[in-house]
Amino acid sequence: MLLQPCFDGELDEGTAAMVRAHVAGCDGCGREMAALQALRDAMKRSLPRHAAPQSLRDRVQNPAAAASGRRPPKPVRALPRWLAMAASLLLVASLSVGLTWRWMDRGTPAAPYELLLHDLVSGHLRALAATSNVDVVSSDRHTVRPWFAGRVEVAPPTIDLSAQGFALLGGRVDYVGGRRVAVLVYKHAQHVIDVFVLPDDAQGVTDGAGETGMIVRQGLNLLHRRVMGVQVWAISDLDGQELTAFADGLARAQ
Amino acid sequence: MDPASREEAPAEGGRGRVERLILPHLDAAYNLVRWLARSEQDAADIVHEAFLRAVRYADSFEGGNARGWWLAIVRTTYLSWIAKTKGVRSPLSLEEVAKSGEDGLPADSGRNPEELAHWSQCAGMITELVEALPAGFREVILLREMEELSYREIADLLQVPIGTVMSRLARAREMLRRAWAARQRG
Repeated sequence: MLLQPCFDGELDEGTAAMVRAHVAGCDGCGREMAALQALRDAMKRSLPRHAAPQSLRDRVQNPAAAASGRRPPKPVRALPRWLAMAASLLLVASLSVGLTWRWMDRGTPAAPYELLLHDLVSGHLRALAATSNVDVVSSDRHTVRPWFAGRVEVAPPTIDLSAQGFALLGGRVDYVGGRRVAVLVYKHAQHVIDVFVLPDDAQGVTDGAGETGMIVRQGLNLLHRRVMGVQVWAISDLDGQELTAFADGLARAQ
Repeated sequence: MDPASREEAPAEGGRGRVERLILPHLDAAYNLVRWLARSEQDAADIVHEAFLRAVRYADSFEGGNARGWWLAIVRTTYLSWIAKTKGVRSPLSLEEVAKSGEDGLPADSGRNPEELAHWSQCAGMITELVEALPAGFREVILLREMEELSYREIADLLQVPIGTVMSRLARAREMLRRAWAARQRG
């Protein structure tokens, strides 16, 4: 009964280990797991993922320009004057293909950075929604760090900040830019803080050296710091000031 | 305060905000509806309609999981759209189940490792089999395998208990495997 939840990564680490141990010794369950994996692989490989067509993107982002298209959306409400002006400027711009391209080009450099933030945010939210947001449960940093050996490219600096009220819950492996990275999970009051430890050449961080000010995405706060020679991102719904104190605490650690 | 202006303010401030919230998930929304509605033009119209709804209900977003909030609106829009155009009241119901899958195949079919190895070699057929699943099952397995939503996220989106998500997902997988085995045989 637990095979599919185990296969879908829905079990806590202890139960999952039990199921895996059983599967290893049971032919029937082993075949069943292989079959599930074969189906998943086949779906991943074969099912076309349909991307939103540009015309839809235009209708959402730029209703004025899209109105010249085939199916004008009904205006829901009168636009405020500044938005109407901006929209008509965009319309003029889009009349000239060259201009439009330049406008899009200027948009691209920000993309890898946004992709990175997007990965961090979705990793964080996914973990919060899961039954367990840690793969290795331990408040002992000497247990957590070795656990990551061989699992990720960059070993995380595990830092004890319990004196400042940030308890280490454990760690997990997550994916950022398609690469496996270590995530340390801390808790402060009822707030969970994920610390993503990224390789220096991770997509989207041109120079991992600098610190960032508070970045806010989907109501979550994100901060970049350099900690013991590696770059980390802290993400949490913790308020900005406390997260800054936490990140600075990490950065100061030796 | 003039009630009209009070009503306008959040909606207009909402458009930019909603745009920022949903743009990263526009492809996910389109992909889901495209798979459910099986038509490009319909999918684009439904997602656009959902966007307008999202702007109208911008206040209902209380922070947190923007994708879940947005996909729930998209799904509701899809359901009311199909009710309106096709007169089908509940297209994601599971009534078709009784007919499909119970075709007298032994429960074990499709579990033979050699057969499974062939999955990967017949890409087009998988798309066909998934499209042939009843919509309620197609939806769950796509949310899990393509969007990689957790059981919890799917349950929230469909507003059903997690146990229902699990049984529907297991059923969808079983049906795909049976259908596959039947193809191999036929």
